[in-house]
Amino acid sequence: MLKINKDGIKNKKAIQFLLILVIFFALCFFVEPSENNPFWRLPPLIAGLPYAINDFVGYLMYDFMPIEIYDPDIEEYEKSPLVKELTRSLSSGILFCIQFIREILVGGVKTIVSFTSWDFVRDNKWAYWPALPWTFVCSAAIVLGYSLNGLKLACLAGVATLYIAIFGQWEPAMQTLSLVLIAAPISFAIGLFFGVVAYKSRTAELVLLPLLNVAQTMPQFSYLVPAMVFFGLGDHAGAIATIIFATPPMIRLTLLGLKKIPPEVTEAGLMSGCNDWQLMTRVLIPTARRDILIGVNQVIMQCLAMAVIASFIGAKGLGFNLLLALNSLKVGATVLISLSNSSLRIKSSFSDNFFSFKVSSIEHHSLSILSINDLLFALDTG
Amino acid sequence: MSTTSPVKSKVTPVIKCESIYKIFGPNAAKMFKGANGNVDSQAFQKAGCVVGVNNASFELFEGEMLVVMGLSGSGKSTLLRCISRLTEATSGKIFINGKDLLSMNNKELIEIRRNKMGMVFQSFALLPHKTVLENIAFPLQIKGSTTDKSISRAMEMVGLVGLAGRENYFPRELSGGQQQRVGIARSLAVEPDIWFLDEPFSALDPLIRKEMQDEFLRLQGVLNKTILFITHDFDEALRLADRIAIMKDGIIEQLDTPANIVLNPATEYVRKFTQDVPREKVLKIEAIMGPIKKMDELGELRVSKDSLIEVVAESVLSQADPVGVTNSSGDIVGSLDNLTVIKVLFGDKNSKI
Repeated sequence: MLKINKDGIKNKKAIQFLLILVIFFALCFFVEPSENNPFWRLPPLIAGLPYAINDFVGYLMYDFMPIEIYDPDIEEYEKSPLVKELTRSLSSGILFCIQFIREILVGGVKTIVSFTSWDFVRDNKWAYWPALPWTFVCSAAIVLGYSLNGLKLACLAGVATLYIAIFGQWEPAMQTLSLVLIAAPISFAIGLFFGVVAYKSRTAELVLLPLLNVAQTMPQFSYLVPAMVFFGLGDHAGAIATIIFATPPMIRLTLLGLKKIPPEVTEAGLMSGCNDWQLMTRVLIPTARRDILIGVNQVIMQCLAMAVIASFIGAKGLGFNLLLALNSLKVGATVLISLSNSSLRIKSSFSDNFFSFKVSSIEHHSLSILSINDLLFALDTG
Repeated sequence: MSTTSPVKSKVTPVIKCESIYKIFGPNAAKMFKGANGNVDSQAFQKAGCVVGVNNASFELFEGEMLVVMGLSGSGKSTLLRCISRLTEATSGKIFINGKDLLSMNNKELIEIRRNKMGMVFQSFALLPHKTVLENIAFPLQIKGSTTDKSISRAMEMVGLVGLAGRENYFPRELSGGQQQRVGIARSLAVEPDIWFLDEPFSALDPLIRKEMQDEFLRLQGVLNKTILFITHDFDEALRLADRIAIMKDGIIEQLDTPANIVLNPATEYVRKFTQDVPREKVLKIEAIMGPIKKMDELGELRVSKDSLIEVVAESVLSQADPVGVTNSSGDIVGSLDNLTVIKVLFGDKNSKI
């Protein structure tokens, strides 16, 4: 009985396959190859959509809902579209943060200027933020490495930092680092937040998952143009593109980690008398910490990858130099800069371990694999 | 089926359940309304609903231990979760110390869980990022106790469950039995009145399980909590329970003392469990003693009516004359002869005594 059934199913499959072949060849033979035949070439019915989007964005950014804004330079009120003002103020906020970290690392006056004025800086020669010496950064990396995972990591951190210093990529490396130091925590926070929301609400999950699928399959370059249009050129646009690119894996891994928690652990939390906030912060997130940490790792990796590409829209750092080297076919410089980026990546991966008691083997593996990946990626683009 | 303990029926029960139903499925509530209180699990299953608990009613008094016994899928864990309100019952009423549990709002529920309830889980459910001490102190800290207070109380609990010296270990560094000791300590840290145990020893090896049962009985002797204990192990139920509820397909088949369940199984299903149970290990003398006889017919030996048959069988059998059975104050309340004891020990298990 069972055998006949099996054969039946088998035959069915064969028939289906045959049918598909027949239809396929029938179409091959009978559809006339002509540009006017809709079976041969479908006319581009909605080819105008991109233009419509262009027009819509143009309208949104330059004409939609003008509001009165006070301009301190000409001391008058001006009309400016709402959306542009909003995105520009977000940009300047992020830019200030990046600038601040950057000046701690490589020195400068812009942070001081934003609290005082250019005149003040010109008049007072002492008003200059000195750069951190490489010796400090290097020893800090070594100490951090040692405290997190002992001698091996300390050596790795030291060598990586030293490499950046002696190959003349110090300043761009620190610029990239400053961008990542801003983008990664923001990505982490947004990712964690949406991960928790998706865990709590089934509707939110159903809305988020397809969005994540799209976001993660989109090419990295496609984030650049919208970021540039809405936020302008510069480090801030690069940071925003980086944040958008790096957040999806964090959301996904947070959700995954929370879903993997055994129901009894949640129940134990509830029976201990946790309210919603206590349950989330003291039971669920700590229990899911392993997956969340892998998420943090991913965020840092994605940030460093995107920070390089963001040089196309004006982000300074290693990516910018890499772009210059690529444009002038300087193979040597390309390899060196890529390696600098890799060592930066190795260093940044430490931050995972801040949250963890013990460095898990997964993190070690992904650390080495992804650094190699990055190198290959950089060479590929060349 | 007796649902009330005969002695204490005047006192307010700690837990009182009135016809609890729990039905899982997309349109469970509607189906339940349509059924008019006559829930047939077969019919519900056809409609895509699963009946977890079907018309469960019982009362549980202070210091009493009710063991709910059933095979997997019998709804025993669901019943426990309804009573701790981890899931919402579809219908029915639950009273904790006379207060309606199901009408409580979130705040009252958290309050009652923080102060009155403790729960132990089959898979231990410890927090992996906290040490033994921190795990035990966790409910206290959630409640808002100061660190000093909660740590000193947690240290007490560590001593009580016999884990002294291991308080700074992480759960992953402990064996299953030790982890469950942590789970027990955590559930007792807030000094709850009601203690829920959901198959606490099922994940343990048989030897450790026996040891933990002894430990549990010792703890209960000290603390005298009101306990709802879930198990799928009938022997465990007999060993621990004051009363046993046997569940099948969401229905409580029988709720009675271990002795009564073994002697008078209410249904065929219950009989399946009881037929292989050695009765001398469950029954007390009281259950098999005969009527009081004249003094000159009795031998010298006196046995207490509360001792297990197994314990006194040898000494009773070595007597030629029937022995006198005494109550706790030493008065003779019955008699016991050799023949009865031999019947219990070697007779047909299914025959009435």
